[in-house]
Amino acid sequence: MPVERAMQLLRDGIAAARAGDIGSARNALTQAVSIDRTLEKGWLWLAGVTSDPAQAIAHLEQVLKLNPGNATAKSLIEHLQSRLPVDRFFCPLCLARAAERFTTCANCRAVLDLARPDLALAANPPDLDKVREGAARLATIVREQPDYFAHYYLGMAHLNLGRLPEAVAQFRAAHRLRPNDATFAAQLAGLEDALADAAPPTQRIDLHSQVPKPAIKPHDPRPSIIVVDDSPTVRRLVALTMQKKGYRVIEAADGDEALEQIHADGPPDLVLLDAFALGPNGPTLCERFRCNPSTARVSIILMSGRDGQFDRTRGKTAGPNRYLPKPFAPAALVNMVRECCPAGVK
Amino acid sequence: MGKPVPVLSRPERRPPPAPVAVDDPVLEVNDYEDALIGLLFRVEHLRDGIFANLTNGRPAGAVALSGELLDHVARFADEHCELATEAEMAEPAARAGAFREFIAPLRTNPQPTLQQVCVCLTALHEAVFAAFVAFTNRFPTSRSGWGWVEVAAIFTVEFKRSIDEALEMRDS
Repeated sequence: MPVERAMQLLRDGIAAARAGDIGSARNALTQAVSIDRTLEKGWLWLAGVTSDPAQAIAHLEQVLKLNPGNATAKSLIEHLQSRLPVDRFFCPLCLARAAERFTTCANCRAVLDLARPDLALAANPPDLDKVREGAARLATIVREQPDYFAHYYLGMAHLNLGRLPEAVAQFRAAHRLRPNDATFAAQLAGLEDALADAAPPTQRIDLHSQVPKPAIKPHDPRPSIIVVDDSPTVRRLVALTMQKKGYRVIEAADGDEALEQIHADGPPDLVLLDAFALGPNGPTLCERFRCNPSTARVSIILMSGRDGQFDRTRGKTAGPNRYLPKPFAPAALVNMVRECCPAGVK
Repeated sequence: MGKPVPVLSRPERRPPPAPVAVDDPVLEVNDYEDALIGLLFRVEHLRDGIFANLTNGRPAGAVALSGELLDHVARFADEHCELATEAEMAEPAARAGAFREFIAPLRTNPQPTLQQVCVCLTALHEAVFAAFVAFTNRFPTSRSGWGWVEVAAIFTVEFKRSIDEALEMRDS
């Protein structure tokens, strides 16, 4: 009979536990409660021979389901809960939990402390996908229930993604919610100086402004360049080079993104287009620009890694103004851009 | 006397350079950053070429370009890190040495496997990253090097992602 079998296993399990044979006790008691789940004593003894506190609590909760008044089970649960490791800390970007406080997340590798913005390179580069997901979630929180921490950690997400202007905008919003935090104010001032150094003198950051300024003003007088390349490194290098020379640079990974930017902001003064990273779309995009009245007169520089005669010919027939084979020196890029679109002339 | 051996090429220990004193020539930040940008344009082009070769079934071509990539980084270190201490360059030199150990047998193999090439590229990634950290330390302040830090981080992440994608190519 199953019930008798369960009782025998219970007796064996208790005897083994008293004899110190924990393994045998666990086996026997596990079998006993699997045959008869109403064995209150079986669950209690099984909890006593289980090394994992969380598992033991689960067994004791079975006891309480059978007998809510079982004082032994209640006191044991309280005792075991105090032994459970508590992961009290979590990463606001990827939500990974940890028992100890941390400034760099072990899961997404994002730096979460504004005191060390240069840790982005000194430590491992962050997991950009996880950080982007965190930034999107925090952006929603900022829209719906903004508070200091939401702005602060959205700023840190932007910083880890290399988006300095967006980061500064969020930190300013956080600073307005905690104006008396002198340490944070000093850190923000350092970032604003870094941002100001990257901008021409007419675009210096107003530290006393109460309204966050967008990274790019709607009526920015600087001539604008759209750089279209599937390599984020090339886009950032072009931006870094040309921003220092007084240009506003907009980055786009492909033709569709470039056209979206143009529809949103109006035509740029110059397009830097990677001809073959887009497959056959490079020259086709060029042709689209030439056929569209709003972009027909935009200067186009076609960049390419293939320097054969055919590619030059093909590039030239698509309608670009100039052709710049990769790899190019920054000075060559600057000179060619200035020829097509001098700084100060929009 | 022959051509000086590049800093990262020498496996043996160099004699310690003169210590940097307060009256040493001031690092011209803009020129230095421009030189780093030029380096990164070139190594990004080579990175693109390495993985184009892998995608098109030319692992030997990828191996050749990876050696060329480290040569550019080593040349930059020779030109711009003369005053770096031995401690600063120890890690980049060690990583460069490890990469050269991986690449040496592949250079004579006309058909290296994708797995072998990816191991070699992982060593290259580590060597380049160590060199970039050393280059970053030459900036006088964190703020002055911010632009370089940002784009170098993007490059190292993209490099790592490309290696991971190449390994998935092997598994698929």
